Amino acid sequence: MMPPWLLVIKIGGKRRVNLYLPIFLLWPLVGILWILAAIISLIQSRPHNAHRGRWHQILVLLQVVSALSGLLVEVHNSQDDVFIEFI
Amino acid sequence: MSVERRKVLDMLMNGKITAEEADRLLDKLTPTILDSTVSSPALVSQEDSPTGHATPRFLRVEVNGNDDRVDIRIPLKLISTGIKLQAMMPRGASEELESRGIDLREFSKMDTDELINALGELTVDVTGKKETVRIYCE
Repeated sequence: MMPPWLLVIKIGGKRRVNLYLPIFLLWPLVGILWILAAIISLIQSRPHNAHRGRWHQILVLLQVVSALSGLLVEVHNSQDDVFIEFI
Repeated sequence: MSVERRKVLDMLMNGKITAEEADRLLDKLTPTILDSTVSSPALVSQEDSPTGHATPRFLRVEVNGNDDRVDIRIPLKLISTGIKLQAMMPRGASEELESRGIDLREFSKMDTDELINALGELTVDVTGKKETVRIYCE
């Protein structure tokens, strides 16, 4: 499952905004943070053996972020147009 | 009727085989018959279709009003993984939901593939005086 690499936000109407946010630039940062968080949670939780739950939570969160690819929200009305897409 | 099937029935009619034997032979022939009929274009499964869209990938929600229009495309993967998000719900919140009769753990027991396949056949069309709502998978 490929995580989204671009977030497109377009807002029409009076204030026209076109944003192309390159999410792929955040991947290395997220990766480093994830490794650090995993190490810290592993050290902290070892005596209680609760790290499995946290690992599961981190994995679920990553899966959800990866699954965002393709999400599209489009709202048009007489005053504003909003377009948000994860590519 | 296939040639093999006719032969078995002829053999039964001529008394060469008993009814049980014919039944057994017809049972063995069934997959072959299915294989030969599946080749017709109308019965080609979606997985083998040239378009390659085997299973639905997105849930679409379209709302059309007089002046407003909302179009939402939700990846079905997001739904199947989102179900697992209940693992991240605070204990207090899940207990509160349970006290109101909502057990989110039931969602995690669901077969997500089965759910997505079922959603693929979902089509909801609601037409009101002012708005039209359409929910479908693509």
